[in-house]
Amino acid sequence: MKRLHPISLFALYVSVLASTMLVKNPVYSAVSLAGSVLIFMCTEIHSKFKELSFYALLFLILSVVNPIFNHRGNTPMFFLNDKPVTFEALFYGINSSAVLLSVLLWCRTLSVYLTNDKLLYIIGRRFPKIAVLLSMVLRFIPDMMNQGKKYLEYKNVNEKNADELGVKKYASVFSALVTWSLENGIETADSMKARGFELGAGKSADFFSFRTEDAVTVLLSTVSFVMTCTVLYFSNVNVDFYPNIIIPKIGYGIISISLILIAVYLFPVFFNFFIDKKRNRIITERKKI
Amino acid sequence: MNILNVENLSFSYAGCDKRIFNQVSFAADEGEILLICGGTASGKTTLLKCLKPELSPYGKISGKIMFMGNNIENVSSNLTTAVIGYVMQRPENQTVTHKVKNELAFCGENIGLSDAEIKRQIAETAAYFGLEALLEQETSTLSGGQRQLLNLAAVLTVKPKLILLDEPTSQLDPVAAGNFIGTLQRITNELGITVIIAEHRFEQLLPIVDRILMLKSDMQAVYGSVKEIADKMISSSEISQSLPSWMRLYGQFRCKFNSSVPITLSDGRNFIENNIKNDIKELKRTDCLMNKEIAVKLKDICFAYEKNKNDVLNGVTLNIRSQSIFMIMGSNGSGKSTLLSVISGILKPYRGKITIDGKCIDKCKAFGSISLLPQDVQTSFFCDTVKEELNGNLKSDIYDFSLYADTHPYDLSGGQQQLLAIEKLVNSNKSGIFLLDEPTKGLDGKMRQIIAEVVQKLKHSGKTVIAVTHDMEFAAMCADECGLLFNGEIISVDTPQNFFSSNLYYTTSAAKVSCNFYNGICNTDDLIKICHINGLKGVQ
Repeated sequence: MKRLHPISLFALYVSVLASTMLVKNPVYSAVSLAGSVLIFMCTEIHSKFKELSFYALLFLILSVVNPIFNHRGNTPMFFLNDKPVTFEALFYGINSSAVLLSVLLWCRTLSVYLTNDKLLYIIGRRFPKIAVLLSMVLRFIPDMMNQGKKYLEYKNVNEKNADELGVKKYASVFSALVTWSLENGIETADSMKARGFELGAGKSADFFSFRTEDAVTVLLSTVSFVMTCTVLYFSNVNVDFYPNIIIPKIGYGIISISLILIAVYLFPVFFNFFIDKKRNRIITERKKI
Repeated sequence: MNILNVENLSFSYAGCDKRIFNQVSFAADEGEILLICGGTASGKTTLLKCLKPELSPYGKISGKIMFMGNNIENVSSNLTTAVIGYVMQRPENQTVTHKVKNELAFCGENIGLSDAEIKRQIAETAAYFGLEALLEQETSTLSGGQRQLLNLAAVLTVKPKLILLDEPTSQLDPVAAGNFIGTLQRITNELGITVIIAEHRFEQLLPIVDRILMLKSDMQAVYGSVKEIADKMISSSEISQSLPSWMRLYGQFRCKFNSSVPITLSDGRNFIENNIKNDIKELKRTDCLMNKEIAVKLKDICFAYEKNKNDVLNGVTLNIRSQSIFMIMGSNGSGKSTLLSVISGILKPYRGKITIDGKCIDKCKAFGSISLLPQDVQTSFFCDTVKEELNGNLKSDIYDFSLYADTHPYDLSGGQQQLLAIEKLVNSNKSGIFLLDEPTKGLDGKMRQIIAEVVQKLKHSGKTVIAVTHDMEFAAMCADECGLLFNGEIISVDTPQNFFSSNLYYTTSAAKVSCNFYNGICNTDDLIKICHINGLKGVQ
């Protein structure tokens, strides 16, 4: 995943997220959830299990909340406060929280893989000026945080006897920061002007190369998206929950789109896995010599 | 080949009749370095901006600027963007993008180069400047020196013919500044690029520049070779104090004989050897520190920023006497600013004891007696006018700010900002200990002299001053004791006379030029004094 070109990364996530949200079928939701968890486990996020257990807890709570507040459905399991807690509502809760959770997890991994650079590349293809602006913001924020820290330190050392309340102190630091950024922004503007920003040839440089695996990913994502739409249009794969659960007969439709969804996310995972393995093998072989 | 030819250039800002400069003429050939010098507000920046059409200031301009044989007004802006580069003072304000490689691509993107061309130029430039390892880094994590090098490299990606630099090294420490100037020499020699630089670090620059343009306060400008102009620089009150010791010494004795101006260190040493007697080796010193009590006492201070990294401070032990000036020197990243933060209480050491006026700062709140002047003085300004910053006390024995009462602090010159920050500290709290972080950063010789006098005044009014500085000339001017921070410890605490004359690298131009002739001379005033006492050779 981390090796993917921004375009193919973008295509993959658009297709996965869109189809996860469009198709209302427990099989499909489960496939998507499994994929998002798998990809999440492949990331290099610090303390993954802790985060995952939080998502699991969220899943449980969301599943339980629906039947407590929603009493539709024909199959009551028991009564709470004279209100029926129905099986349909529970089932709906589980399904919808699976969808919600898989979307959350997909977005979480997207934030890991879609680095600032890749995001800027995608925006820059179409809106180069906005890409420059974003890049400037990304540069400016850490600079401003540093500067803000310096202002606070100054206040803490030199004006510790002043009777300034906490809020007032931060307000004056903030106002000084604004002055600082505006003043120094003039110089940045000059520097940009001097380097031809106003010529507006406008185009951000391409630092990424589009390789075979990217082509495959884009192809798979497109096929998946198109097929999902077709299946949704021509056959009934969506489940009805109320008043009775009506699961459509498992047909070719749901099987095929589930399979292609699996292919969409498994392909980059396996591809990355094999490339990494080969990389490590060659490194260790070299070390042995 | 002639790159730039300027004839009778005059400029005045819109809505103001006063000319910034008048009838300036000069020329620069391929691969030359032209130095523009002049005091504060002499129009150096305005002149440089006039040469770069994109930044050309609003106002009335007359005269002719010929760039590679064409009038600059007729050159297309696509071309001038690429062939004329411009680098300014503060490195952090010029970086535009968040990553080093994007910064290098910025210029090429704007003039519409293809991806392949941009990539090739980034590759070449990064290799030439040794920036390859930094390409993927965020620009905000770079040091000042690295950032300024990046700014220069970013301009060089589009193959300029002429580079204009406006005090590019003033925010850098001497080592980074030396490297930067070295790089300039390299690009002129190896790439044939013409460099026009406004700067006041003359000691390193003078040996490598080809021509000098001096802007004088009366709007007149003189232009010529180094030898011709050097003499005029010595007699200018604005510039002379920024010159290396040997040139100022020459200025003192100039009327006595006809020898040419010494430009390099060896010229200076020859000048002394041939012309000045050295019968009396030392100056008599009177002041003694020993009978003063100890104001700040550090014992075995250890500090680290991160768990698995080395200690920044590793057993600093230091005694600083009250009403004295202590200067801490050391290379970049040696922990000088960290040490000041520890003394001021911003950072807490994990080991060791700090005692201020006999009280341990761990136990009682002794911080009240400390003032800290930050390295970036702009972080001490919170108000919109000088008057508000100073609570109305515009006049003091430090500096008279009456003229600038309603000025915004940012509109003062660098040196005045520094003075305002010091004044504000003196005003706002009655502390006895002043910690100064690089008080002369970016200032020219004249302002350095003024700051040195202010620091002396602080001392005489009963304050203890601890300053961290890269500026050795400054330390030699006013320190009572100097120490070198190395490997987390303070080593070689000594009087400036002994400190500088026994150092080989951490030393001043006066100590370098007088070494072996005289003992314990570390600043220009002492050098001139001892030479006057000794007298000239061949004069009875």
